[in-house]
Amino acid sequence: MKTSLRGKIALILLLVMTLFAVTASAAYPQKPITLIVPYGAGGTADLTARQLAIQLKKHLGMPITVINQGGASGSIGTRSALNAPADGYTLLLSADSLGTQRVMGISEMSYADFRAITPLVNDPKVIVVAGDSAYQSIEQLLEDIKARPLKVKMSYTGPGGSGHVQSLIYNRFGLKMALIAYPGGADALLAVLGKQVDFTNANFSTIRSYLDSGDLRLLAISAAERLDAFPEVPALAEVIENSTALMGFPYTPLSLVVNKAVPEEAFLALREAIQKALLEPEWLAYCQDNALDQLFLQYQTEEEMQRFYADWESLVSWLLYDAGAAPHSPAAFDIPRLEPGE
Amino acid sequence: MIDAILDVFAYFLNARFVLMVFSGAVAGLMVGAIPGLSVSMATALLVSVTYTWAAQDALAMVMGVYVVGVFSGALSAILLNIPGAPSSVVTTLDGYPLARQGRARDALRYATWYSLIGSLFGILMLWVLARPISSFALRFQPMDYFLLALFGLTMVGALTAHSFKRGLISACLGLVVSMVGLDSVLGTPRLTFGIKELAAGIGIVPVLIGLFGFSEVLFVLGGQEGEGEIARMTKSLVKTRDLLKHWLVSLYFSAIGLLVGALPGAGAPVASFLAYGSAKKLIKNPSAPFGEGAAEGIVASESANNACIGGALIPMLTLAIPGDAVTAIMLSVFYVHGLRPGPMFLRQSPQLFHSIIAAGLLSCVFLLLLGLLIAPRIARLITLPRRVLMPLVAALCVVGAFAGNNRLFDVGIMLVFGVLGFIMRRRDYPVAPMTLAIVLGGMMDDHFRRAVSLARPEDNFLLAMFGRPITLALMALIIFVLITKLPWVRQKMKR
Amino acid sequence: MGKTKQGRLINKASFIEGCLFLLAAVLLIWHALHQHASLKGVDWALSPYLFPLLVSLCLLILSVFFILEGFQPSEARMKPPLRWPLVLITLICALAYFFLMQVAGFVLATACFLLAMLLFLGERRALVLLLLPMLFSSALYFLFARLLHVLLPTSPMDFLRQALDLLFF
Repeated sequence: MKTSLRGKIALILLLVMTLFAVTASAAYPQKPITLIVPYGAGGTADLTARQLAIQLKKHLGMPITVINQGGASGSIGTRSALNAPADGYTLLLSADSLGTQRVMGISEMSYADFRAITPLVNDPKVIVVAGDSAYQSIEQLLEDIKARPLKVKMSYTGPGGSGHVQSLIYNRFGLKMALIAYPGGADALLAVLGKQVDFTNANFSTIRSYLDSGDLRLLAISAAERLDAFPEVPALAEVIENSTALMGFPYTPLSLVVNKAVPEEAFLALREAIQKALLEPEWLAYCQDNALDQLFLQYQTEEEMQRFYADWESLVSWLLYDAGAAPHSPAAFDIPRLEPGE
Repeated sequence: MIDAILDVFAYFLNARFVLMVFSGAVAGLMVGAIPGLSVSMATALLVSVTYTWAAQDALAMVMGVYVVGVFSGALSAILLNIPGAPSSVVTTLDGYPLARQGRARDALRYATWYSLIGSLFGILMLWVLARPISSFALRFQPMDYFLLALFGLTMVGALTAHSFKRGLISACLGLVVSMVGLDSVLGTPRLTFGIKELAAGIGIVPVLIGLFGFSEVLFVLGGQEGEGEIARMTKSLVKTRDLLKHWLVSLYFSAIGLLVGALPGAGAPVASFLAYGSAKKLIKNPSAPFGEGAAEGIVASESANNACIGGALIPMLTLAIPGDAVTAIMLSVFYVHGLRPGPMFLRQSPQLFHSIIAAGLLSCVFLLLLGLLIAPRIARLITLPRRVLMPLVAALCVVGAFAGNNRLFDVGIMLVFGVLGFIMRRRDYPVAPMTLAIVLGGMMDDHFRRAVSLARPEDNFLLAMFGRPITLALMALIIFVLITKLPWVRQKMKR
Repeated sequence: MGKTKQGRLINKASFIEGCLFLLAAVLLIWHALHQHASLKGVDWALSPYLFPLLVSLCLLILSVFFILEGFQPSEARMKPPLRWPLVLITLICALAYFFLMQVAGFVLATACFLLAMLLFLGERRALVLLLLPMLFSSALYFLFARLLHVLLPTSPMDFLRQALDLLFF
């Protein structure tokens, strides 16, 4: 009895060992890679990171572990990516807030501390209310916001985040809401479902199944153009006059970045792998399903990418500063002023 | 309905599926029992290994790890006084004293059977009541989360110390510790004293290992009880029939676990503390006084924390909101396999839902097997002489604190909290409230600020803050607990 | 002591602890107010120092109870006397272990720590002294570093680890 039990234990241990065992190879990458998502699980950044990890593994040959470190407009996860050794084994899936942290006084980090491997996608922003909300159309919602300034509640993901930028754009057109901060996009949605707030500005990819189930109602697309998947839902640029230029910019780019001190060899290996990974049919299908703009097609060379990040940083930083939301002037960080459409 | 039942039990005949659950269960037993290895760590590792597999296989294995891992946290809690995860903290309160009385095997059997009942209850409720429970969870507003956590803290203060204020001050200090790091709304560094490593906050695992494990090493070695083993094992065991006589009340604890588990962010530690609190109220004649080896304490804690599994899966599957750290990682298993948990999941992918239920039920079977066959053998560990066992435990504390984040800094944290825990125990301050406060502090801070900013735009601030049934009920409970603990009220009640 | 003497400081430990809690609470309140003021334009509802203020007020109230306890018999149960030398030795060993790990690598440092502790605690069987540290540190190394990919500290000095790597990989 005793020996057979020991045998069994040994067998079990062996089984577990083979499960965990990973074979090693010579050049970079030699060990599993960590991909930090500075937001909670279930948001667009998280979904994209998970999908990307699968595709990237095919071309790097090493598992890529996705870690969620949410909170503080993404600065907590971003900070830990920057603090990790610059050996190419820690990647960061950066959302837009990286470009605004300095002017917002959240941290001294910016795109300049990282080197972009590639921009990935832009997730369209949409306005949703609960399925049984009194707001039947976007016009009703906008009228109510105008009639009761600072009373209609909108959940968002914290100062400097994409929801905040969106709300500032609305402010420019005389729409003032009460903003309630939540740690992540999923929590902000939950707040709408649980009737804590009246509406939210969500990423389209996170709300799709709630539309199917009727728990949420889609009122408008926060962009210049309608979505192919919902041709009957208006774009905000149609409802709000003269907003086309401001609405048309990709405000929520997701990018894959690494510490800028990463060795050239590792960086090139990553860049090569990602360019192949982004052509995988599964990845393309993922973008299609979630109506994501494929930014990586628009910005392919390093110069184009840098230009894009510079434009983005300038536009959004000044937007935040002009609205009085950002305590520090972009000029203090040598960020030039740029207007959309230029 | 019959189709669904057949569908679930068909998995029991699928050898590959059963093997997957079994390997998960064994891995769960290992990571749960070794301090410093957590179920969430194991699940995260599994995600990176299993994403080329079929979704069913991956989920089967993860469920095995989850169910058995939560149970086996009780092993190190009972045998070494080191809770592997915050959810096992309550199990140490009575489990460890029982082990020191030589009844480690009984303590483990209680833990096994009642973990089984909790897990089964949770998973069956997940199967039957997922939708209603998730709409119940949706009613909780930020203020209610804050109050629920506060309720947990006042309970814990009341429970673990004979002196209420000592429990409360321990919780208060824990809240101060939880503030260290970047705040979650603005990212302002708080109480970091310019130390870079502190910006990420103080990790709960090094704190747990320090407060319970390392302080125990100091305490035992400094004690006057001589050179022998921690405890001899008595030969006689409680009869299984006697052991199971608490089944009815354990269903009540399981229900607490299920509901609290379904609230995202509250989770197993709160559930087990609340269950322990109600056990103290409900059971008038425990087998030993609570805190000195009452089997009923283990019953409450283990049935509640295992029922949380089913609970935590509910918001994850129906709303795509994870209830705890493990379900957050499980969520990624879904995404990796192109599945979308959310309001449509139960309707669109019933087969997958059934495979989760089946894996959960199978894990319960393996929990019982492993708990009854393997656990008593591990229990022999404590019959080692002190002078041999304690150095090994100390080394385990060090590597366990290191493992979570690969940071030596965390080992330093563990040592500091080890000394703090030692001093607190010498001066009769309970350490359990401090750990719960550290776990809950961040969430309380978050929700409290959110509650204030939600009430701000309303015309009547106070009404918006407190004017809801759940909020009022929780307020009433907290005030009740506080008042009954006031000295002069207690004197009047005794008369 | 028999009956309680009213109004006299009979329980010094509680009194001192109460004063420490009071000091901590006051410092924390000052810190919260001061830091909040330095965050320009942040509303109290959003302020990171709202919650610390709340907690430190609770701490303040509780500390008063502890100071009052100084004039009453203590609620704390007496603990058996302690063998302080052993506690101190354990602490010193653990600290040495912590620093040795960074210099000598994990496996070697763990073996040294175990050996030292066993010797201090009076273990004299040569076989145990020789085998236990070696086996246990190797087991931890395999479990954590090899199986679970924990990046345990390494060092060129760590000949035990190198021996293990040579033997098994």
